[in-house]
Amino acid sequence: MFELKNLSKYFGSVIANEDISLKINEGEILALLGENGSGKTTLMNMLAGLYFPDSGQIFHEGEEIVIKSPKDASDHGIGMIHQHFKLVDLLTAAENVILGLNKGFLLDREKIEQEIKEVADMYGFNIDPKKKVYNMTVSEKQTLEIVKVLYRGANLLILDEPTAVLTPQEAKQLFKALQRLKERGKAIVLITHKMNEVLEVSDNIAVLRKGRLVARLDTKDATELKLAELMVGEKVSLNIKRSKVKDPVLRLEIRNLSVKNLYGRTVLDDVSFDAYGGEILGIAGISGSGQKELLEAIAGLEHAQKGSDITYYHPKHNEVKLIGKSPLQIKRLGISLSFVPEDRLGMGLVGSMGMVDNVLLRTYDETPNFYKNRKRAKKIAKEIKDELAVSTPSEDTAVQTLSGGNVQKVLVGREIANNPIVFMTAYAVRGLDINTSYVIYDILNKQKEAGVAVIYVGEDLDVLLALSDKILVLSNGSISKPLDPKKVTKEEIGLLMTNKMVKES
Amino acid sequence: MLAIEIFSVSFFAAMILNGITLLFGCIGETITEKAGHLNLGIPGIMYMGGIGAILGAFIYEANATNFNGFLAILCAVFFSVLLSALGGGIYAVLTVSLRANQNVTGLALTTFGMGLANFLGGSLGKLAQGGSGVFVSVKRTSDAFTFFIPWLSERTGLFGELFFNSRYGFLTYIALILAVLVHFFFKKTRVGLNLKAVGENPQASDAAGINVTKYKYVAIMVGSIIAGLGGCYFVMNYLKGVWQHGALGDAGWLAVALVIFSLWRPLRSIWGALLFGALTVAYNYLHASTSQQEILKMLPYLVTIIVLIVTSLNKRREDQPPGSLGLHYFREER
Amino acid sequence: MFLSSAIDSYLRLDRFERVLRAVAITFISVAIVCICVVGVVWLVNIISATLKRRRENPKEKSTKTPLFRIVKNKELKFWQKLLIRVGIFLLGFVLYMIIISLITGASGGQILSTLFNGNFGSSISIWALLRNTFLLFGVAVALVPVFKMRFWNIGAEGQILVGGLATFAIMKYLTPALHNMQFLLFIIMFLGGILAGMLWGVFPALFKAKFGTNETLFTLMMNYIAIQLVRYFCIKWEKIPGSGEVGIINNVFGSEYPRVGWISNNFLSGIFGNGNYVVLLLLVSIVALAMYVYMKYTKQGYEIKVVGGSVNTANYAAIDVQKVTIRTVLISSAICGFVGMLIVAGVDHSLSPNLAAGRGFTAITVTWLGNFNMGFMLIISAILTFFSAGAKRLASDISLNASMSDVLIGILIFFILISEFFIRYRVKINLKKKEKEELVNASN
Repeated sequence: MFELKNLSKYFGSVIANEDISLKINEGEILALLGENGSGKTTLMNMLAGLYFPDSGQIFHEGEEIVIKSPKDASDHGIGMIHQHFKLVDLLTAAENVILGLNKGFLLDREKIEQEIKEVADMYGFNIDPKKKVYNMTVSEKQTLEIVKVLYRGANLLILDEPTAVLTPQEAKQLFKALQRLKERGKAIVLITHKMNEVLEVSDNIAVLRKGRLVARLDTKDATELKLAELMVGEKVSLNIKRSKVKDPVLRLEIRNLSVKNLYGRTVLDDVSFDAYGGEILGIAGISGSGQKELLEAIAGLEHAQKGSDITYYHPKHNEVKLIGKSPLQIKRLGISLSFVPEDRLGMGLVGSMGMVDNVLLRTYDETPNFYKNRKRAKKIAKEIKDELAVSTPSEDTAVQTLSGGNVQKVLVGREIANNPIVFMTAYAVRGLDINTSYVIYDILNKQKEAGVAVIYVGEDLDVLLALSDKILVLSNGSISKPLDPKKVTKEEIGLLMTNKMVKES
Repeated sequence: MLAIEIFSVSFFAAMILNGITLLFGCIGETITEKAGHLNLGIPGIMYMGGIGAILGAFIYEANATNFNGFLAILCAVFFSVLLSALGGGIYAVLTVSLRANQNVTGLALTTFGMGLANFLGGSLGKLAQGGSGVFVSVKRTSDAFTFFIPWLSERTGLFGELFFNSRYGFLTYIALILAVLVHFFFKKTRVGLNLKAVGENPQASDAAGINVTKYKYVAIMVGSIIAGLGGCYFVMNYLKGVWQHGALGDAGWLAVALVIFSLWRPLRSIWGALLFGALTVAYNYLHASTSQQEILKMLPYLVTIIVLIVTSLNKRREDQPPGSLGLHYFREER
Repeated sequence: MFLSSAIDSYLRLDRFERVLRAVAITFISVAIVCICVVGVVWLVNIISATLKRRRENPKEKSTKTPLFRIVKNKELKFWQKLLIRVGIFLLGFVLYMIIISLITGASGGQILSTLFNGNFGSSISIWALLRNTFLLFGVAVALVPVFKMRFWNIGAEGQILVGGLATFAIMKYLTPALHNMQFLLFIIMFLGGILAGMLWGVFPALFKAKFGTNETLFTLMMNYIAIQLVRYFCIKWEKIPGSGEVGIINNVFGSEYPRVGWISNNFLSGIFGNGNYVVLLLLVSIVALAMYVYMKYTKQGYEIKVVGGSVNTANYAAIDVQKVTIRTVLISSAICGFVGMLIVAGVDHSLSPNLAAGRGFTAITVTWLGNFNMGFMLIISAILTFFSAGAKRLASDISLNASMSDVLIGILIFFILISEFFIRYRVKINLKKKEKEELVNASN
């Protein structure tokens, strides 16, 4: 139905896509597989009208078309569901669906809401047209996005990493829905980096690496190992080392931690667990179950409700109650807590500053006088650059110009340089290529061996099971008992991720 | 010491005249801000609209053999719209297409607009009064503006004096109707919904197929034209067609404040405008000494600050400013 | 004719002013030469880029291809940026001259010489140029820390005014007591100016820090309250009833304590004569230097940069954002108040609602366009002051209405904003290739 010919896209001197030719047929699910940074999203963005190709052509039913804007894409029956939803949160579901469609001057809310419900029902989706988006859950928003493109007559649906925010059960529901759509003759492109999904649901696979198309094959001919090779270009073992635990020491004691968000909703409900130095504690859960608030509460960035208690056991001094303390107070007490947040450029780093200035975030206050001391920061920055192989023109280049992997290396490197007793990371390897991910796993293991209490919040269950010594599951703000990764299965974890009543007696 | 004359008719009229001026400016800026742009050039644009009206009237009066009120009004409004569109156009091109900083551009535009208005006013004055005049007066056109249902105000006594005062002119009612129309525009039309979305989240709007650039341009232009009409109104109805250096005073800044005061809701702007209008002229009717007058003139600004503070304490999602206010939108940003 | 009269007046000046003039002339000539070079180079750039595109893409699509595409530019080198800025400014300046020429019928040469005379025509005008440049520059320096922190302090005008008001009040009421201890008087005036400025800045700062109140409008409103306050006192203290004018304080003639509290006469008057502005220039320079060191080398300057970069990151890094916000705004408004004191005690020696003369607003443009760089900010201050003073001369010599200068300054700023665009972005123009056959050949 659609054909891409020799499509290329460049950003300055970076090659995002080069000379890609691909056919997309109706009634089929095509998986677009590749590492982060391989160009999958860029390629589809060109189909969706968000980027304009630097060269190449696009054909629809044999005729050449030019897509200059999302509207053009929509006119040709292309609908994209992005990783970051393009919804206006102040509007209702119905308003978001008809946004930009100018069929008539006045807004007949009743009629529109009815029409939307019909479309949703036709494909087996469940939405409330009157609900305001700022009140919706992540899964509801995704459903809304799908209904939106269907309402606008999409025949080609492009989904960008749709399961990143879903539980295994919700992902299964999604795949069933995709099958339904496929049966009605829709063409579907699934952008993903998860091989298991590719093998489970797709008919064809296209593999991208570093902006180029390296393979095009039928799913029945593919295996995980083969695909992994194609994705990275060399044989890669999926083994992650898990070193033995020696002499774990209690470092952090969380008791009855509860947090409410801005709108009064309870995002963490009576959470209790222990973190030991010399162990990696993995925390699994769907995005948005309270992980962010949990780590931020420990770091002093989030306000906890009464009755919550966080105790920190310092190696040399007495225990300290962390609850109610701000990051500044924690710092002043000499407590070494390192935190690699999910939002790297928005919280962990200042994008417009270079490596040295970002390292300075942790070290600038060390000297007692008025002037800042850049020398030590410079030294640390150089160490990070050398040991972690950070690719940057200089130590003062703005970090926001670096690739995702390098940004994360800077962030993680800086936090380790802090010599922490407790090391927390949220989604440390999200968006990173395989090699960098392994570097990070290695760092975490080394920290663990050095006696640091590592808390690893992750989304890839395989990695969690391979890396952690203990696993907790966070679901809707409640936490499970610690599980043994050697014994528990992925399905059990998946179930725990969705259950509301996770606390066991 | 301070005798109170608040309930005299002339106070009421002055309040309306000042208030409606602000209402025009406020509605215009509301539309612009709803699209995500903070236009600090509105004071300059109102000046340009004001001088445009004078210019148009002057040209007409100088060239018309038989004075026709209707044509005079048409000419004045035409030039007013022309100049405010020019101002709006400059702001739009700079901040939408050339991605310049909105604050700096707006302030430069205010300097430009006020300068242009004062310059043209002074030059016209020289032309009109043979090289020595300080101000220009287009009284006949001004009278045309204020000619509106005179028999109604004469027949119905106090009520007529209050609501159909001949000074108000037709533009007063247009302002009120406009406010109501804009309210319905945002609540009940698709285009209004699209514009609201553009101001809240341009990325999402773009992805939905809305031409963000077009909407911003139109919103800024329409907003500027409406605000410019405020200048036209003030000059023709309140100042009776006499232009002096700095004629509009700080009306533009009060209009900008009024937008926040009304929480970007046109209906609230109506009574807010009247309140501000009342505060602006209160000093005249409270028989204060010249120095005390200056303190009284502070009131509108103090009230605005109080509203600013209260609004920021109130954290309701529905009352917050448009999400992308003051920010740029660039589609190919990586 | 222009040249000979210029040489004549030049020879009549004393040595110090001759040096100043020579420097000015050199600077301007170099600038003009650069500008011409820039214009040519820039044009060549555009043309060659267009030609290059034609050569590389003979198979461009013809149907419905967008004509203009705006793409982020690669980081340009310093000289390229300078070229673009100066080049476009020159265009703006040419437009400026054309407009004036059309309105007044004056020739280009006349305009240039009037502008020149307005600024360099006499020692008084040269000092006025220097002093006004530095006063504007001083306010721009005050805005550097707050803008870097992304706190939009539009209230500089009001902060200057209240600083001046406080200074005047102190001069008025404390002169009889302290006229023999002027040193003490100056200290109190200094403190008064700063504290008044800080008072004007503390409220917007507090509310922004604690409640997120929009500072643009808060500070803006404070300006008008300040203006009204000054108007009130001008009437209260007027010398002639009904005039609203307070007259010169501690005047040379007719006052009991001549020249008390006048900066220009009590410092360095031995070297530079009475009524000099050297102290002013020195003080502003010291403040500028201090601000430079503060922003670049101190912890607090670093904290400001982090807060301006990302508030979330600042919190994460254990920086007390509220404290930094309030502290920085206090510093900024204190400096503005200080400038107010300099104006009242060093220049006007009087009080009027117009004492700030719009510097608070103009400085915003200076700081922003100067990109927080002290050197650029000084240059831009000089340029704007130059045109402002030149405009007055244009008004008297070739009868150009004074308001026109505002219009033209507005236009110049627009042009500078345009040049910023061309530095950050590049416009790609897709040229059409008509023949369908070419397309068919290409796809085969």
